[in-house]
Amino acid sequence: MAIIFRYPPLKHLQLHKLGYHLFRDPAVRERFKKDPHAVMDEFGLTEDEKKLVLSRDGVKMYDLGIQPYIIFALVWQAFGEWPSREQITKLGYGREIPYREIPSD
Amino acid sequence: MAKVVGGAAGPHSPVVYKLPWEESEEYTSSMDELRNALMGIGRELRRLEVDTLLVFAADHVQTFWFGCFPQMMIFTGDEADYSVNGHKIMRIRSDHEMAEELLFKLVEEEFDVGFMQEVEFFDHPFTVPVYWILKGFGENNLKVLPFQLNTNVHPRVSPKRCYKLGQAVRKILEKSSKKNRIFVIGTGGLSHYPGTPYYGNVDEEADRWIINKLEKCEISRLAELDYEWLDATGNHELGTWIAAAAAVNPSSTEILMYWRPWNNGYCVARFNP
Repeated sequence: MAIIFRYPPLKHLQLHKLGYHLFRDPAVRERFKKDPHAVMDEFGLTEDEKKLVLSRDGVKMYDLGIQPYIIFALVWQAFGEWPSREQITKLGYGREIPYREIPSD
Repeated sequence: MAKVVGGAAGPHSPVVYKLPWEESEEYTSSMDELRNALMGIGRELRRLEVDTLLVFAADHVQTFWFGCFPQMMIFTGDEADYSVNGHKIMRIRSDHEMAEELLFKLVEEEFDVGFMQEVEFFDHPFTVPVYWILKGFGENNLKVLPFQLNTNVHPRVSPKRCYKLGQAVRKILEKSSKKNRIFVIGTGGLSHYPGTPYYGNVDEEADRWIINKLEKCEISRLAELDYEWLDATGNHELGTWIAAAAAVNPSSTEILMYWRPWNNGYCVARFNP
């Protein structure tokens, strides 16, 4: 087992900050939808981070250490969407959950 | 003295507020049942003549930011806005006198709780269950007291600490000179994996085990769980339920519903003193 809802790595502070504002601020979401590059520049993202955001690859974001609640904002809410059953299957979600034991008592 | 007259726990997903995609009739019917269960709690609050609804919930990096991310935070302001994903849907009075008493006494009891006298908004972990409970309550004179418990960004408040916090809240209220009738809820869960590659799984077996412990009122057993197990089963938000249950110290727990669609184990539980 491992910690899933992890501590946010400091190196991704600006990326997390973008996700925070996309999640909570409809005005930032609107601007992002119209011109994502301008908004990402505003938040000071690196070129690799910009590519990651534009990929909308939440699985890759998770594997690179992005905090899950920020991933949700970056992949879905930034684009005014919510993941449907069909979308998550196509996008590689549904990874087998970590092994755990159900307590006997 | 103030009195904890009951408690409950239930989900807070924005989907429960409003479904953002099309689903089958069976799904929407179950979702209606879930909303009705929350509204039923609201009707129960009215029957119990509740003054204050104390809400333990975990911010999802919407009210707070990594510039300052509190483990425990009590709202001590007069009123607050409540949003879903940043869209404001209601403004509700709080109970700042009760909140201040809890703050001061909890700190005396060595719970280092932060406070906030104003807030831009609380989002869906607080808003969604409160929205449906208020619909059932039917009047706008209920005061809502938000209490942030970090269960979602590691390192987090441990389940054991949540349990002790709930116990401390109950003892403080029992010694209070105020006459408030208080209902306590915890929000979140059960099994789900938002924002992770595990999204789309639901650990129903783990949910059933937790529900069994709730029904037996073995809250202290739930408090022994750790975050590796809770994360693995998608039950990372259980600490808010543990805090609410411990504040009630239930003699019985009713499971009002359990429903397991494709992305979330939804449960509504009622804790009876």
